[in-house]
Amino acid sequence: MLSKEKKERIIFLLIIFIILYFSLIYRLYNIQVIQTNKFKEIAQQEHLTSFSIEGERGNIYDRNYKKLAVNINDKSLFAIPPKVENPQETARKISSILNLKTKDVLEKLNQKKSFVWIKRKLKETEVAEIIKLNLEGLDFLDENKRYYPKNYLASNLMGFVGIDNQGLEGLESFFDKELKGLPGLSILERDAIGGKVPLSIKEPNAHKDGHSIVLTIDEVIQYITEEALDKAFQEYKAKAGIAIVVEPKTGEILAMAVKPSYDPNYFNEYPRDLWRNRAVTDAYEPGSTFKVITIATALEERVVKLDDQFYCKGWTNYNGHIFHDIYQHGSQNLTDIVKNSCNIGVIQTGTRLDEKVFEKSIRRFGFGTLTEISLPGEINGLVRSTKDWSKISLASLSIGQEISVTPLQLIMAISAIANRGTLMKPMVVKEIIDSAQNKIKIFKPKPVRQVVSVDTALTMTKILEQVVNDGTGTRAKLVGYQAAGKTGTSQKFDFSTGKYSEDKYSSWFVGYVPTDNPKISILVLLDEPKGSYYGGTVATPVFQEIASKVLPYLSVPTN
Amino acid sequence: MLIEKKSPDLWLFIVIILLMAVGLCMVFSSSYIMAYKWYGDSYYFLKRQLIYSMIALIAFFFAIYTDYHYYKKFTLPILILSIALLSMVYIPSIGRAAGGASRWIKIGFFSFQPSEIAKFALILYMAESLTRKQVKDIKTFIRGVLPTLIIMLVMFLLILYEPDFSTSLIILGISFIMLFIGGTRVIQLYALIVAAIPLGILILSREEYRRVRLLSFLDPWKDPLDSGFHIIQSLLALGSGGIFGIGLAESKQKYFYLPDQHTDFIFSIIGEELGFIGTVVIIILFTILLWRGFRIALDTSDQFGTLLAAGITSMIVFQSIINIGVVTKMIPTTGITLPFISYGGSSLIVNMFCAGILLNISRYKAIE
Repeated sequence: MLSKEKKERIIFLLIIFIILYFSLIYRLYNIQVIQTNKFKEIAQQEHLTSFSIEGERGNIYDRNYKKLAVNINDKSLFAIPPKVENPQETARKISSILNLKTKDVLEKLNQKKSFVWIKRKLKETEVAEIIKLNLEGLDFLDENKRYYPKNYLASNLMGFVGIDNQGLEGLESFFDKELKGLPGLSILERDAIGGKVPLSIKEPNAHKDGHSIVLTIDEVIQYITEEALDKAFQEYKAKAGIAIVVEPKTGEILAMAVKPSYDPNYFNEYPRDLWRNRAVTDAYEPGSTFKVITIATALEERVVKLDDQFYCKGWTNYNGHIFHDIYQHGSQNLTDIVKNSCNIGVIQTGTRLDEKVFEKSIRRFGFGTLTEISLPGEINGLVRSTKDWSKISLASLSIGQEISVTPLQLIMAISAIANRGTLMKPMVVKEIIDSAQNKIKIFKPKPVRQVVSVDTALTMTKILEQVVNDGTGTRAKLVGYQAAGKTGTSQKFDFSTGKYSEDKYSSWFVGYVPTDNPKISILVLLDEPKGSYYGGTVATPVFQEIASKVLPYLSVPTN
Repeated sequence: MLIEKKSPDLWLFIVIILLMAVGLCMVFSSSYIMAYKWYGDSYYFLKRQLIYSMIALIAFFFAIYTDYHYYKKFTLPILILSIALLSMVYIPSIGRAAGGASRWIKIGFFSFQPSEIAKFALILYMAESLTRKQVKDIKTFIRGVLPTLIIMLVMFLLILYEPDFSTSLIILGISFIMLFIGGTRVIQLYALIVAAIPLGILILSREEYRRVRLLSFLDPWKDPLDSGFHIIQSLLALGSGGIFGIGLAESKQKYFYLPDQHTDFIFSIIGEELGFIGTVVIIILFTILLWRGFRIALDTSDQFGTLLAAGITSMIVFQSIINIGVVTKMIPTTGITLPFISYGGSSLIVNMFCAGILLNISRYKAIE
């Protein structure tokens, strides 16, 4: 029979065990009931990788909804450092494929993080090679990559985005806020080794796709413009080339071409100074093209009449300074001095103006202030106020010296003449549409001011027609269309010597067509062309080529 | 005194079957993701556990209907066999290493853990020897305690050097409990504990990982990704289960957060999926097992039966307490399976066999 002692000891043990079981239950109560929220939260943080899903960036369309900037899916490589079995080996292998420094990759793999980017937006061949290696702890994530299907086309205007799809240059930068999608918080449940658990992806905070923008640019006109500009740019080995096509009535930019250019898909492979949009970021002396402003102001201020006679003996002395002309034009009327681009005649006209009046008129044409076009990096150019003028400034300004303007300012001013004296605000974006194709915002043409009277503008047009028909700009002559315009050849001011350079010129042509109802105004600038440098030879044919192709394209009837 | 033969204890029978059934469910639920990942077959562990369960049930029923007195005769052969098997782990061609420890021996297709058999052999030996001895012998150290101590120490060291610290600890615990029930003087038991302390310190200090484990027990969050990883993941699993659990098969922690999720840490997954209710039910099942096991020990007609029943019950209960204590961070991390529930053939078969013996003992009741 069981002894009393044994019985007691068994019961004692039973009680001990029961106490232990109860303490376990108490412990579990503590963990599972009292502290459950704390543990749940920690566990959730661990299971759920939250990451933000970028809303897709909006597209950029031309005025006919042709795609200029879109998004494509790209794979980005990331590592889960704790899961990388042999960091040394892994770093060595992938760095050679991805063209990265082994040291840098290894550093990333040794980070005490659960997620680290190795390289973003890989090329397809790189992805294939990495997959082939089948390495632990590496995986890909799909990311949107900006893609510019037309490559070089309008690249200086469009700009580009950085690795995180942030707009860095051009329209991409200026309209970044509109284009950019709103990120949504996304939660991906994952396992401890970083694989994606086939559970759920929750998006408590939905992302929003960005808006798209519709440009005033016409892809076809842009292409024509670039092609024509590039031809001259190459032929004359110019430092830069700029061409702008504007609809004078609305101020809509139809084309804006800059050379040299770059492919925004690979913007990093080009030097930085090719990125900017020189049409707004750079200022040049307008030279003879500015004579249009001088004469228009003089006509507006009635200091000159169409039949006024001028005599050019090849030079003139104004306040002790000798201004030269390349020819002795002899006796001329107002139209002649513009037609021949006669410095002497224009100085004689311009100097009839009051300094203040002239300065005011220059500013009214939009020089010296931003056009406020929706593009980043626009500059004012340089228009000095009369108190800073020297005795000869009035004469210099008359022929487009002592002033610097952006190509955009100049073509807008010329367009104001074409538009019966009304200066328009330049437009490059017509509409903003949301991802459901609803129009969020429509930009309307915006007149800035009446710069000169309709009469003055029409008179000016008559004069400028003669430049094309019988003057320095005959190479702008078009079959079936009457064009008006002005050539320009400006010596570049050399800041190192403080004098005008002997061999560096800017060649210009600005004009519009057809004159009875101007559909397009065009600016062509070739900066520092080699060989020939006269605006009439270098820039004017570019105008002619653009206009001769664009007018039929726009179905502008011939006369 | 008459001995009446009756049907086995129904409570205990049901509890054992329930525990095994829960085990099968939870082995599958906790392992299918991992099984798919590593073996390409979600049912990899379930299939094996089903086979083990079949064998275990055969052993179970065999034991239920085999008079436990027969084992008395085989005490010594079983003891010698188990020590021999334990030694074989160290023979490279037979011993199978897994996870840095050779705890297995492989014979033909079958590999098993001799330490599981050793536990049973020790209980059987102690029950037999303590019964055989006179009360006055038990009370002396040399004749009562020393022989047991030597056997225990041999097993302990053999298992410790596999290394399997946890099982060797169980061996110690079982011996101690058996000595206690067997009638050893309390003063001698105290002496044993005092003697064990320097031994314990020696063992802990010799192996760096044990020291790290002990330190990480004190502050697991200090190194949550490494030494504290197991225990933190276990607590997160239990804690996120809440009262009702997140639902069977819904565990998130089993997605490779919680290592050994189908063996040593299966209780954490139960806690996560079935909540506080689930874990309490499991503990209640073990408590019923404890109560019925000791009831049987108290009710049985002979000393051998009492000691065998109490030993077996204590072994199962002790192991379950250690296991749950580990996963709830009440005691430092040490790898021990949860009887009847954790994945593993050797322990399930031996435990079911022992439970069968327990039920067999319940069939004999002393009548005054």
